[in-house]
Amino acid sequence: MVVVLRGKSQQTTVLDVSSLNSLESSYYVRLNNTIWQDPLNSTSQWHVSYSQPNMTAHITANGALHLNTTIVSEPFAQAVNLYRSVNFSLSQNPVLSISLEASIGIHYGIRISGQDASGNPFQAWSESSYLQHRSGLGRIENFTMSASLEAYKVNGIFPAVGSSITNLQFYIEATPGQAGEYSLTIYRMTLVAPNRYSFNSSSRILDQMDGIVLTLNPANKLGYSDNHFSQGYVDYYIKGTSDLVYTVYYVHDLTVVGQGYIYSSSALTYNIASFSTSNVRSYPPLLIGNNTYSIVLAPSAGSFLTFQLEGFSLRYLSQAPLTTTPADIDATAAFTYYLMFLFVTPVAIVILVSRLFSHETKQAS
Amino acid sequence: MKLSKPASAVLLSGLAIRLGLAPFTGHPGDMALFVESQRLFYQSGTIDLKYFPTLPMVYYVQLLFYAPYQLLRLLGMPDSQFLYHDTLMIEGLFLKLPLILCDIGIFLVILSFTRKLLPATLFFLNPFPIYLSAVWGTYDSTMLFPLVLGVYFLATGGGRIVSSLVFVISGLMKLFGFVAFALLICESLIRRRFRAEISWEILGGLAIIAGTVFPVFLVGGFESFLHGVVYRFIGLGYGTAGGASYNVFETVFKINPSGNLPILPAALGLICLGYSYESSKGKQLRRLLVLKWTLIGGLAFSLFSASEPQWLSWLVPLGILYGSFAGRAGLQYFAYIFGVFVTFLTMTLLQGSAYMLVGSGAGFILGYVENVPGSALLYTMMTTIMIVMFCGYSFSKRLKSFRLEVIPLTVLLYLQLYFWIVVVGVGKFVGVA
Repeated sequence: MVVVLRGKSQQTTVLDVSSLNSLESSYYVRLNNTIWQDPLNSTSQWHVSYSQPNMTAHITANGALHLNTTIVSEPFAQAVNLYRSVNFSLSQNPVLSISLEASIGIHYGIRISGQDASGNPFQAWSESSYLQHRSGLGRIENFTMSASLEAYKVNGIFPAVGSSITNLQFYIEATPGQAGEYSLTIYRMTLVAPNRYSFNSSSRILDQMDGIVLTLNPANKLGYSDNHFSQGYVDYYIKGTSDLVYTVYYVHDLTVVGQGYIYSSSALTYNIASFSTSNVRSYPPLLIGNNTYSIVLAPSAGSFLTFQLEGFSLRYLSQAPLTTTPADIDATAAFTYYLMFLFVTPVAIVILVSRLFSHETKQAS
Repeated sequence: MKLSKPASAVLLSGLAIRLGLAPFTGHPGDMALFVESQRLFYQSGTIDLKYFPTLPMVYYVQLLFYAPYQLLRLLGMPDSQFLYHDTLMIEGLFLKLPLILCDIGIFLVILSFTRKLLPATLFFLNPFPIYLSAVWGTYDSTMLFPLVLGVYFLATGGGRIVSSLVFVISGLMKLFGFVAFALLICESLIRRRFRAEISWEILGGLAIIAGTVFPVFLVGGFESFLHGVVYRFIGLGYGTAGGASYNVFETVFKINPSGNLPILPAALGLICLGYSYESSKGKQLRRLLVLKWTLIGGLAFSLFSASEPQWLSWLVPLGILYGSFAGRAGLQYFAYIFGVFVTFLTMTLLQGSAYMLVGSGAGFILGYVENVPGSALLYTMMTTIMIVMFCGYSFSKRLKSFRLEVIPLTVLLYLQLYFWIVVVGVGKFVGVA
């Protein structure tokens, strides 16, 4: 019956996009076109401010910028800000690349702000961003931030033509009652324009890659939307730098439709990454083009060195899993039914049986 | 096998409970995975063995049970969606049908084995197997049924070779089933049954495995099968930092030896060594030893692996069977209480009642016990304590019989942990979310 029925039903409730013919283009991104760099050998451009007037901090620069502060215990939170003015045009979708180290025990964050062509200010950071209130790890961390994307995430629209970034700010903050000596060291701060390099997905590519993008043409005959996306898979051979940590995104236009787990791969390995709507928790650090469906492999640390695509599959269901509960649902009756069948009835019958057949266990013991 | 009237009544009521729950519930994530594969096969002819997220035997079983549903749909049977589930109601029931039938199989095996209704009832009307088979839709019972059937064959003289092959089928549903197969191979090695048994056991096992995996090879998914299923499940996978762990050592003490060691193969080796040592001493019945060491394997796995909630269900039928043979009525009753509490903990602290009932991602009906801060830690601590209690009821001489006080004691433990973890928030102080 299984064999006879194979493929006989009308295809209406599931859509699978898996043919390599659906792959429109593949390219990788390299952050190798430096537009600007702070050599970090002078403190003249940098300023320090405090949340409390009695705080002390000093900065030094010798190829790396060091902020050292002594915090005296107070019953409220305290912060030291380190900031400078800049003037970066957003016309090239520049990416800010930063390496820094914050001492253990302190919290820190990075904030970007700018203004449009008319001089109206805009923020490119939010309190809920992963760049805010981070715990110091006592080791170097690398960040790659698309300024346009950060502004989009906060404001819901991309900065208007002619906009620029005008201020970069770092801060360290102490919780109430915290005291001690803490530091923040910035080792590198560069602004780069991402370059795209096309490649043939069926052959193995060897290069340093800061992001891999597979652009798709799903040819959706059933008219399914992003809300119907259920699950996706992509399998590939991959190798990266020893510190490589990455995840996989499925992006339509500027919406992250699916996201996968976190992977690492310093040796050449075969991997199947799955991604789903329920896993979506962040945005790829690089800006992907509008009006496209893309599978994006984006590192949060390190770079890819080798990549070869083996296949992919995107699955849409007529009723895909919801990630939020609709507010208008009253599940009281269903929940009562559920508890009756799952707990009350079985336990009642077991009590009854155990009373009637208790001699069985007495014999056993 | 003729069932007595009370046994028939228990069987029918357990079946009615499952059939009453199955169409209206489901784990949206897992059910979506299964229904995608089935619909792809019957609607577009795609054999989804490359990306099927678990062992291929599960796929074949689902194909068989989904076929009648597909036939009924082609004949015009209507079906509809309940709330926001990603499967239709009757469709979900057909996907869960093999799991429910395996529950019935386990009930009948325990009944035949022990010749007592109470132990079989303690399994069949245990909320945890009901929750997994009829509500969640996960397939642990398809591994457990051949596992207990193999033990039954072994104990009733049905033949070692038949038992070992049934264990292989169990392992092909979920790899834990191979533990009992490995124990039988150890037994054959100890007894030096090279010609009579071991060659047939190994050759037969390899033939079944090859027959199951060959279609995967044919559709070009062998490498994804090895990396995505086999290596990942036996702890030799690498490169993934995803997935939750409810293991107390990893969650609280941040000890994760599987990052450096193939811990599951090593644990299997230790279980085989322990079994071989005890078997060579010959003090206990062989059927009891296989059961005992499989139960030890289940307990060790639940304590030291990622401790996924559904894996705890393995302990229930194994504990009840072992309790019957070892004269441990306390273990049989505790296996029931264990199932009730673990169902409550899984339902409230991990999945959320609305998830299984409404079919949506982040909904909670019982506000005070669901979606509470530190819920994963509370779950981890409670299940760890209950597994330790399970160990006590399995092997301690002082815990052979059951006392009702254990039930309020467990409730008090939950309330204590709830106070310290949820209200006080000790997790934050020790760096556990």
